[in-house]
Amino acid sequence: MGLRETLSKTLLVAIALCSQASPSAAHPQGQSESDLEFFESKVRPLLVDRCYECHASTSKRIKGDFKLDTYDDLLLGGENGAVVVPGDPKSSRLIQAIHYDGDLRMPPKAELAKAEIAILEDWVERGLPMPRTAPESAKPAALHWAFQPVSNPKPPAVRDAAWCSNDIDRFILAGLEAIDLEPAPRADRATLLRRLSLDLIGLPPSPSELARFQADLSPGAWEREVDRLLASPHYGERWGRAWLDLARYSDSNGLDENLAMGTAWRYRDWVVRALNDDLTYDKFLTWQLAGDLCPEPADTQALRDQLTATGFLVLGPKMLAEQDKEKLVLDVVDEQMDVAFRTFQGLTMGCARCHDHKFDPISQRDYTAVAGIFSSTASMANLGFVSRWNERQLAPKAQIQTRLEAEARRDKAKQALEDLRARAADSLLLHWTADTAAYLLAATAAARSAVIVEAEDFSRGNLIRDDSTYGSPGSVIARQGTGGLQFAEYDLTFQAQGRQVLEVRMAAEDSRPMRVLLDGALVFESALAEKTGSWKLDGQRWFKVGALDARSGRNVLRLERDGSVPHLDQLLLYPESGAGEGAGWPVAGNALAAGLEPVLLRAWTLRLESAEHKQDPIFGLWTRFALLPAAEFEPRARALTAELRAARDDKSFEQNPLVIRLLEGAPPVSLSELAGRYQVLISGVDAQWRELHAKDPKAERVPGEGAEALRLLVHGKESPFHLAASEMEPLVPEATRTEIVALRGAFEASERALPPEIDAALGVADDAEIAGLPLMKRGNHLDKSPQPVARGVPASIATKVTSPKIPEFQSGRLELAQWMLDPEHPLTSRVAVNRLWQGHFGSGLVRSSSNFGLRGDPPSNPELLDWLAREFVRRHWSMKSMHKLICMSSAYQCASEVRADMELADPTNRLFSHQNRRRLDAEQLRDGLLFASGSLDLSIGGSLLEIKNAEYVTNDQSKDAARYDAPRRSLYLPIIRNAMLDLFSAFDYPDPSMTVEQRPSTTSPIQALYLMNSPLVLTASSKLAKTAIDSRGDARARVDLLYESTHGRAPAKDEVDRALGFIARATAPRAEELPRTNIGQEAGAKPAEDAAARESEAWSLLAQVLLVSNEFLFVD
Amino acid sequence: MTHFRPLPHSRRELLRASGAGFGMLALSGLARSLGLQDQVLPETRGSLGSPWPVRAKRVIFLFMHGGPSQVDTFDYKPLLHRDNGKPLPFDKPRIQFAETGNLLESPWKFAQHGQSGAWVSELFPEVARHVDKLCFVKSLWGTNEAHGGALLALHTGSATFVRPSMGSWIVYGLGSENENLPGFITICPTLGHGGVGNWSSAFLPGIYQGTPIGNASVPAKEARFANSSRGDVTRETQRAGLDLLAEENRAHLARHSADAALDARIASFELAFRMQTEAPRAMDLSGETPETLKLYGIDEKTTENFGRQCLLARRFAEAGVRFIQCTHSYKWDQHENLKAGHEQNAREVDLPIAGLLADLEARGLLEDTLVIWGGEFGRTPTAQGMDGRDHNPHGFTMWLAGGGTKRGLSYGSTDDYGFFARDDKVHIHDFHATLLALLGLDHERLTWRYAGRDFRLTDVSGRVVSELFA
Repeated sequence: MGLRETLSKTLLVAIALCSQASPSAAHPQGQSESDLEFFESKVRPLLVDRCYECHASTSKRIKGDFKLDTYDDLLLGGENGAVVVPGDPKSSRLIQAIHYDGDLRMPPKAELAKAEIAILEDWVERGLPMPRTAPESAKPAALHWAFQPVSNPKPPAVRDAAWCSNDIDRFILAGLEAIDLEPAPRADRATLLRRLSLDLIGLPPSPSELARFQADLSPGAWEREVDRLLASPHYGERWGRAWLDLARYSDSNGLDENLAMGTAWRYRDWVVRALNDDLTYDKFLTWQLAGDLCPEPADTQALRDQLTATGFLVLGPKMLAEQDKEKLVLDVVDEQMDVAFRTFQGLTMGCARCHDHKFDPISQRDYTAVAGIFSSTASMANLGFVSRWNERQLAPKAQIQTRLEAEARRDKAKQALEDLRARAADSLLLHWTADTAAYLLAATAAARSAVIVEAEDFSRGNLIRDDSTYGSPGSVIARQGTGGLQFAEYDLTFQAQGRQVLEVRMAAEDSRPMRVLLDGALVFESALAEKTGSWKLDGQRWFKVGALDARSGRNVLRLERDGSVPHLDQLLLYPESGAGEGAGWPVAGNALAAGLEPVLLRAWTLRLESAEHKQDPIFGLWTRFALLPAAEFEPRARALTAELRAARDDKSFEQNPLVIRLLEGAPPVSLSELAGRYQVLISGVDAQWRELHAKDPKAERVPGEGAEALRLLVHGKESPFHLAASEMEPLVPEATRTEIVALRGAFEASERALPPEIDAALGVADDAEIAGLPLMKRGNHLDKSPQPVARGVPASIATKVTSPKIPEFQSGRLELAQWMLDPEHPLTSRVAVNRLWQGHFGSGLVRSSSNFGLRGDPPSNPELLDWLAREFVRRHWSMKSMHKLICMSSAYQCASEVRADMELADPTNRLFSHQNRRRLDAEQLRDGLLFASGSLDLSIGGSLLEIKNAEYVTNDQSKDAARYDAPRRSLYLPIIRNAMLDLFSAFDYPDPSMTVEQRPSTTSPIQALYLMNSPLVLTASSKLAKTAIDSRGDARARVDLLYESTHGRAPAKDEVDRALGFIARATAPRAEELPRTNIGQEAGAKPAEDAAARESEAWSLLAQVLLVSNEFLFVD
Repeated sequence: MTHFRPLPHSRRELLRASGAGFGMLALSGLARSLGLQDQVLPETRGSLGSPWPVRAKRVIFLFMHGGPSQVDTFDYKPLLHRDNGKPLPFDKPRIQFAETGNLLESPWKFAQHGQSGAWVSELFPEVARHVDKLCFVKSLWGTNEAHGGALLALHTGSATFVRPSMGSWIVYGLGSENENLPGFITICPTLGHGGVGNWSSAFLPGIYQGTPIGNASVPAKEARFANSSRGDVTRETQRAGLDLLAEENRAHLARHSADAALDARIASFELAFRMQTEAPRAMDLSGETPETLKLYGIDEKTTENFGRQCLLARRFAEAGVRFIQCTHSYKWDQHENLKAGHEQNAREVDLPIAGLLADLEARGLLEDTLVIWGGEFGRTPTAQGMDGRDHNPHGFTMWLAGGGTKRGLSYGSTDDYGFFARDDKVHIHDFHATLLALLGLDHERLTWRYAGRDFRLTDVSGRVVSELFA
């Protein structure tokens, strides 16, 4: 730590002492408050500034065993005895020493000013007014530099004033001159513009921009470039991305349930816009913490922005499936606090969740007080099994209200329609239940001639079985493979030749028509084109494809499509009946005559078919009897009854307890007699249910063992009597149908009358219960103190700032934001300007830019930090203005070369004698590759996420549904937690679950492999090579073009020679065939077949070399 | 924000990041990975820090995603059979994933095996032949009852926050034994339930993150490192390009003052080129004998996929990779269909695991290779629906083999029905502490300074269960 640092640090310490001195602190009798005031305002700063480096309890080494901390310390004196005589300056050695009067000369390095000497004399004369002992409350932690008010330093005098472009440089140069270090020379103009351009907009300059700047030697040239780039709409993208690192921006939740946060992009776009508009930092901060609590602006866009900004609080990863919901909420609060305080305050609050902060003056009580503010904020929309984060509708309250009312009207109309449908369905049910026996018999007959195939049981095909549909274990559909022709073939065997009707059950959100072939011949060109509203189970419907001419014996039925297919579930084939149009089902004549509905008959047939294959607790018994030949039914049924009774008794035959009673009494005499027994049983349960329901409309099930299952057979969703509304409607009586049509009309009209849907974005609201939280022992929410802690702010980090009063009926986020923005708050402005500095120099004045606490790094140039912090507030928190200030400094424009003396005196460049060389970050790398190869799409804003809000982005089968192929700037690529783009994870893109203050910059072979082999790099290289080959003829000109596109300069002579030599070698005809492939690779690489191919390969390689070279990857 | 921070290019800076405690030990690994070994102290492992001798040099973690049932595999509970269908005679946990019903006996018979007499159910006939190599821990417990949280807790020690994976910690502590391969490889990992979070290095430097080969939706046969080769040019052509690149970069460096980052970048391409050769070689099973393929079940459809994973794990272990994870994909989650489901799952892994154990032993690798088998939690002894078991983090079984663990030991126990860990409980943190100790690392000193705090795999707890050590 340099002298300057130490002094400033101790100065700050002193101010803290002064503010911490409580009235109870002991001080000598007779000292007046004004005397003490004199001490704290005049003397203490002086002591701190000039003496405490060596003579305070905080000094590294206390010299002469003498401290100046307290009255008692002074009276004790040092190793040579007494130092002061209170009331008598002349006899005090201290005063003699500061006059440089005699051997002892203090301070040793430089004499005090006359005025300062006078102050100390005055002080001794007054009898040394000062606290007798150190105040108890002044723990060392509270004295930490960062918690002291921002000082107001004047730019220091420097020897080489000519070097300084602005006041920043005076601070920097003073620091360097103090250790006799000269700053690096100004970087050359090409380097400068590349640095500035990448710094401000994240893109390299174009060759023409470079040429212009290099030619423009007028005095304002640099400033014009700074202004131009700050005004660029890409400035917001570049600095917005930096902010998004802090805000742990992501398009998915991550952690356990990785759902798409489909509206997060609105926050991202807001950040870009806010920075482009130079939204002042005070508003930038306030809106993110409490935009929803700010007064509602008249301007709709402003309102949208304020609400969208609060997405900052909701972006965090959450354990949505955590079943301890209280813990979930407290973890969310903890995450919000951690991110908000690290981002805006440079403090690690999280440590104090379980105990008082070990290093910083933040108690568990402080933590709990702030946590109460966040827990009084609704960040979650619900706490269901898989909970859901909160979103805000981006519109004025009145508009939201109008929409809500219209929705309510729509819902009412829908309810009326559904009620009527339910009543209609119910009366149909009553009628159908009475025909249960007929359905059973007819369906059994039909099942004998029908063929039912599960779609995934294809004989050949490339469709994929998917039983992962969430929430529906066991559901099975076939779906697309990896693209190209998709098909499934089924080997079907029929007893006899004849026309077979094909029906298919499927779900499809989009129309995906398929071709149907029978034994290789196209039968239907475009079948199954219907949309059913969803890809999932609830969207499954039956569709009749049509009739096929089947042969007896084996037939191959093939369904195919170029590209993705509908989600197929089951195929059904049955002989076309001769009964004519509308019959459509292999129904025994008497069944049709009995008025059975074909659509129900199909459902019954499927149910009985499945009962034959799977254990069915209701129809297991039926299927056993149905197999008996009609001719010898009676004797065989007797034997079967006995057999099943025995099996029932030893539990090897299990059925619904009511069904199994059908075995009691006389054995069935015919299948229709057994059907009658089933009907009596089922109607009986139904009657029982109707009676119960009439008495108690809230009843949900029928009592009695086995009864509920039978009720569900009639009324459940899986019931063979259950019909979709569209299937049911044609069957209801005319009058009812007319009524339904009218109600449907009303419903559709109410839908049309809805005002446009209101955009939503991640955001919070103050509609949680507003209350403080109790203390929790070791952070355990199962071990709470009885009394809640009042909501509040951690006052001890900003003692000069009056703690706000938290309103009773609001969370207090707005007050928290305002407290942070108090001009006397010691952290907010310092933390913010330090981040800007870090962005321009690669490291901050405080290197731990999100930790200004005791475990953080001290500032390398505290005066500069404070001056910048003051300047920021003075410039009304304008970030663009600060960027300009920094970019205009000579310090910023220094070359990045390190001289030996720099390495020696300041090996880690804490004093900024030169610029830091930096590697392109992941986004700059990708954007740069696309830019250099001429394929970057520079449009701004919008979402590239193709996944619906709150849908799973990665499922259990590890399919990642995000797409990354758009040539847009990397900022806009989906950021999926748990499944980052390989480029990002290789090149130190931060984990998007965590707030990241600064990206690391590692070097790894994984990066090299990416640069050597990834499609992104290879595509960019060949594209650039093609441009070179196409544009100009001669090899030399191509080399020039490649260097210009990648390095923004013409190649030097040796570079041209090297490149041409390489091309010559690489395009030379090959004498012998070289081994073709990398080891272990399946597909052999073919050497270039002819000269043209060899040429294109050679130029692509050259382009690649330049694109992945250090000159491209690093910024000087 | 997003600028380049110079590599920690001095020992002092390395120490600063890695904290005052364990840092020194970890240095050699970090330095080697960055090609900076000359700039740090010589290897100091064993002389500093850890009270534990090095027992294991590498880890193969056979992860059964979904949560296999302890009471149907290795934790035999006669009372569960006796009281089948009766209510659990004590309280169920405060938080349950779903409601479960009465006790459900295991559909499988148990028998004792080997000299140790360890109980194994019919599900694992092949593993049962190796019980005397195994060290069972039957009293594991955690706190998270959902897959995501439990996976993250098992892999990173935290179910709530983003933390480095155990593999990352280990490579940070020990480095890799093979410069041409990543130190931490995860084969066909799941992208769900925490996904990358389960092998990420979080705040540790990116070089410690797990390198995935494929993912759970890719058959092991087709799984590859990303970007490990290009098929469009010959190796010689690519070499020529890299030579030109090296020349360009050296010329660039000559125009600038010395810079470790520029140097390291040049070296990284050479390393990558070697890796490009080494990785396919390590993954090329064509040289394995038919006997070996059979041993791992690669010749059988059912066992082929996990067999390949296990054989790859052995090859990587031989090549000096520190931490290798094989994931048997998300199938063990039998909320229903326990009988058919567990039977199929066990069939897929039983033979390959036995093959791996036999092969490691035969090659003398089991000595210093720690094999771990287990899922993110166990399952309830009470029934969910007719034929299923729910998640149960309160008591479950894992087993260890080799790497200095005690052969034939069965440590800890659950209650009479296998619901809660009861005696000699081993929390996930204890498991991690023990794992590190087997590798000669002290879990309290393997730290990284982040956000003002020294973080470790075991947070603020963890007991080394030294009873497991041979």
